[in-house]
Amino acid sequence: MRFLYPLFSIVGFIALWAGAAYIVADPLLPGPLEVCSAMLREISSGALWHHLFVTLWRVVASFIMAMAIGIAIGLAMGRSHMINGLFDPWLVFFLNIPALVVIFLCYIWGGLTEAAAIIAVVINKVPNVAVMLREGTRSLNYELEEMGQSFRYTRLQTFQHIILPQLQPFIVAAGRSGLSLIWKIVLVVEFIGRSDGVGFQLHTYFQLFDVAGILAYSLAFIAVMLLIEILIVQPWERYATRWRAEPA
Amino acid sequence: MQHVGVQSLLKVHIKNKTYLGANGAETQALKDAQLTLTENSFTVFFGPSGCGKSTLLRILAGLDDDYEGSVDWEHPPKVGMVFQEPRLLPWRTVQENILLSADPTFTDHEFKQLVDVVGLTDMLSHFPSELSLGLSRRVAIARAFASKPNLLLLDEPFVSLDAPTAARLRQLVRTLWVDNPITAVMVTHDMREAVELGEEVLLFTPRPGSIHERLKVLPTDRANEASIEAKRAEVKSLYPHLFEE
Repeated sequence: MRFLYPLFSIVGFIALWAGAAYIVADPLLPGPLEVCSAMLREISSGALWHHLFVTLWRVVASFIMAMAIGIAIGLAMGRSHMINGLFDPWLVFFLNIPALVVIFLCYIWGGLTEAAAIIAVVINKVPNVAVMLREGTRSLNYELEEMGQSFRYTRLQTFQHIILPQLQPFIVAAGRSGLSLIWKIVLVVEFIGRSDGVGFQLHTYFQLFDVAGILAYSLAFIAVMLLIEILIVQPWERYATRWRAEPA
Repeated sequence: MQHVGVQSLLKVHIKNKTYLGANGAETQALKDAQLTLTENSFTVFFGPSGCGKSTLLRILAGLDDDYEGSVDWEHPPKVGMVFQEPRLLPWRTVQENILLSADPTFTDHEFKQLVDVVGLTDMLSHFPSELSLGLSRRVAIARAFASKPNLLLLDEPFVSLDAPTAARLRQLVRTLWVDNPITAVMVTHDMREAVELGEEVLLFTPRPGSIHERLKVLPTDRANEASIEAKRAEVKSLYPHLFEE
């Protein structure tokens, strides 16, 4: 039964949607079938794959960079009062600066280039990762580190076997929220200053008022992100937390 | 001058060790504590809670270097430590926990022998969350021996275990130590434990701690239950203020 509720909910929504589209009978509210056929059209022309792939590449590149930089800053801030004091005002500043402003400035100063696009996304995401990892670092178990110190663990061993496993839940949480935030920002970045990618296609269909096209691209990309969650994020999380006692 | 055949491993003289409490007040934990550890001896630090015996153990472990005084090693120390809490890595199996701290020269054969002696052969693929406190302590003890230390430090390793489990673990430590002679120091406030395992018991004064008396424990003292109890009672009658019961 547990698995049936979400299914009911989705099927019910599609039925409602189809009914509403049928009654309104306006191209501005296409039904599920129109959206599917728009999607098939884009798939058969190869456009959908091309733009999906380009966007996915930007998401992955900026995700990896944002996570690496954010983790490093968060770790340093959690460990050192001095670094925390130096970075904290800027963390608050960058957490609150609107994404659009960062994107505009990157494009103005860096030109409408791939590098400027990715840097804009990274700058938007790094503060979130840093904040989460700072909290994670502050909650590290000091006793385990002492154990490592008494057995003369190397720095690498300490990081790999004592610190990283404790930060893992924070990294997963930052990664989760990061992925969903990043792909939305990537679309805006593409919308404003790129000539390919899902965001660019959305821009095109927006100008044509082609709602079926807009929905086709959005749903396709949501599907891709769902697959990443199910095929990569969840199995990794299960593997990394297998040592936790099963809840009774 | 050293006695023939008896090498000293280290000489310690802690003139002063203070803590800064949460309220900003300084507490003196150790005052003029001096000791020499000879190689392959088993020394016990005995005293009431808060007398600085664990503090001195942490200094020997290299976990605390904020003191006035000196710790002079004959050779570079290689510490194997058993903490009061087992301090196992929850995300590593029993086998990984032992091997992560093992000496590079520790062989497969030695590993099999060690886990057999400590009774963990069937538990190697388990995670610490699946173990009882007694079993976790066994892993911690095995980990310390696998590191092939020249100084084994035990910080109340049998505390909060039920009496039969504690007795079995004391026997285990005794067996391992007899088979692999190393310099060992154990902190305890249980004189029974001290007599059963130690060759020399250092009695600590209440805070600020220093070493009040050195007692030799003879093999006849730990020959059987009655002799252990007799020794315990004798020490207690001489130094009742060092006992907490």
